Amino acid sequence: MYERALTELASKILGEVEGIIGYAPGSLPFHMRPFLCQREEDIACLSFNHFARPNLARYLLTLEMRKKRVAIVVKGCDARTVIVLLKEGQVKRENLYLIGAPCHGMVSVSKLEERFGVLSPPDFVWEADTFTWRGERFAIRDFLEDSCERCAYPNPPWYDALLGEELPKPPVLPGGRDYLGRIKALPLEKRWEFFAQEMEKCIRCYACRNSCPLCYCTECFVDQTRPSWLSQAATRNENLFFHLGRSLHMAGRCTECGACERACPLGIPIGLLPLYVEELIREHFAFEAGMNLDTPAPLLTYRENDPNEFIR
Amino acid sequence: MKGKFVTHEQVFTWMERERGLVVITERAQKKYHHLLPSHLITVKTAKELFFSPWEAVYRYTLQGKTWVIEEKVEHSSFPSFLVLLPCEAKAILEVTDVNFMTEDTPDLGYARRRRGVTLIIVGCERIEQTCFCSLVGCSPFWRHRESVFLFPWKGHFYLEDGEEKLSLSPFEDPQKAQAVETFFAETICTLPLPLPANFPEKLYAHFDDPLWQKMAWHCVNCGACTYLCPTCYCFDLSVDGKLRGLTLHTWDSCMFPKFTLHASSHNPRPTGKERVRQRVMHKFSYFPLRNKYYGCVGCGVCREICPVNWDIKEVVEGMVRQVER
Repeated sequence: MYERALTELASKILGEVEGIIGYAPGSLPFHMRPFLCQREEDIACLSFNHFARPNLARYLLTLEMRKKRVAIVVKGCDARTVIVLLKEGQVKRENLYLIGAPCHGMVSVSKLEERFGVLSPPDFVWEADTFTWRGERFAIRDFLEDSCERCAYPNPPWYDALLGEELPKPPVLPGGRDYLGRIKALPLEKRWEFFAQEMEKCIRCYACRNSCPLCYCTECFVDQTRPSWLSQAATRNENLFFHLGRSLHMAGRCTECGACERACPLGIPIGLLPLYVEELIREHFAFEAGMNLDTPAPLLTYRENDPNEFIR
Repeated sequence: MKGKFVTHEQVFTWMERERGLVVITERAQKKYHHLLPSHLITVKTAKELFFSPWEAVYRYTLQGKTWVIEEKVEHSSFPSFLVLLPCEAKAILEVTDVNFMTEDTPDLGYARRRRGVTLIIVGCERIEQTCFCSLVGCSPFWRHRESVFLFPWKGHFYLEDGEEKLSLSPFEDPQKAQAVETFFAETICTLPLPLPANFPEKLYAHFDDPLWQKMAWHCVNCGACTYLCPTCYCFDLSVDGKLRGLTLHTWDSCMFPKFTLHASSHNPRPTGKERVRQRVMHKFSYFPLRNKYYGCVGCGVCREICPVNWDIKEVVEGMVRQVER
């Protein structure tokens, strides 16, 4: 998808920028990987499709990248993340060139496996919002990652160049946004039971934290030893403490890209916690993170005339 | 002929009967759910049964002016059999056992749990996209004299060493057993060739290769690959509690910055490059140079779960080309 537009654009801007952070086909079928294009001959490797899962904004934060002017391929959610990073002063506007990729959503390999068994790449022919499997046609939206099912922003809210046309806002899928609704419908004890069970599985590999572009603390609170905030033992309670701590750190910042959830090797729906926090932020502050550069982030803004006394 | 045969029912009934004592790995369960009982106790990785994600070694309290320290010994019943795939078994027998069961200083917790357990290896009928066991001295039919070996063959299970260990009564069929052996030998011939014989030495000499920087670029340095790796055995000791608490023995990962952080705040592995290099070097150079086997069994789990498709097989093949240049 977008290969031609990508190649044309890349040849035009490589020189103006020192590198293009994009996607290249991975080593396994149905996998794309982050790729740093720095030379003319790398341009042909750049590509984009329904498996460009990682949020590349994370790569803007490496020491080497911070010093350079780079272009980055962003989906709707990724662009929102970049905006948050800009607002938080982590990256500089003049160092960035945003290549927007209108996104039909990322396809979940496990959902494909559930339907088609052992997957063989030649069986599939991919198009923008449909695909065929051995000649039979299916809709992409029936196989989306959970994080993409609930997505409301397929287009980057801000970009320097766009690959292809902007997409219409996707319809809210039944069971999509309700991903959170399903948990909220449960009585409190059942909710606790659900989280207790999920947290029991967590091995604290920190794939969620490390895949998240907004988790950029030089030293994470879980790694601190003086004082030590949580035990090294991956018990249910300690795990929950980590995930809750992370969710709170993300409050009003999370762009719901789902990178954390897709990274989890144990399939824990960790996205639920930050998602719920963001819902509260929407409700209380009428704010969504990363939609534009101007609206101040409610939890990161201090005003002397704040109407709430406790904060003054 | 060493191998004999048992029926599916014999194995199924035996596992049903012993089910409180039998544990199966998730991967073996997924592969053979149609032949084995479905409600056996499962573990995500084979190593976690012996090398727990976390365990308390000591409990301590300050009473008056003296520290009272008691060793924590678990008394819970422990399984006697572990059903697993060949690569998972090789990881236990030739990597974690080698590391934790040394004669002079065994890891007591590991040794205590490991001693009473017989491994039941179920050979692989199908090779997954992520598998690369033949590169590192393993195979879909890897066996070991101390373990039972099963392989589904035309409505039966081919069985080695299970007669006494599982008290099954197999029947002999030399002709059929010969056919199984031929099938194994022929299949192995079709698999990719092992890494070059002196690869560990050559890789060792490439410690400063600039290629590491390039290879490490897209790794996010999480610990998913190391924690789910059947051979990764690094651990940390920490204390939890001030005047009263526990000394903990927990999994640790060379992917984390804290893994090598010195008290002086110097870190000899400050960036992803050094950490990624360490992971590859340990498995493909340091470990085999000391213990003759690779520290990787080619199970492919890390390739499957990596959030950014950082692929150890690809990196190792890249290094093979690099060292042979």
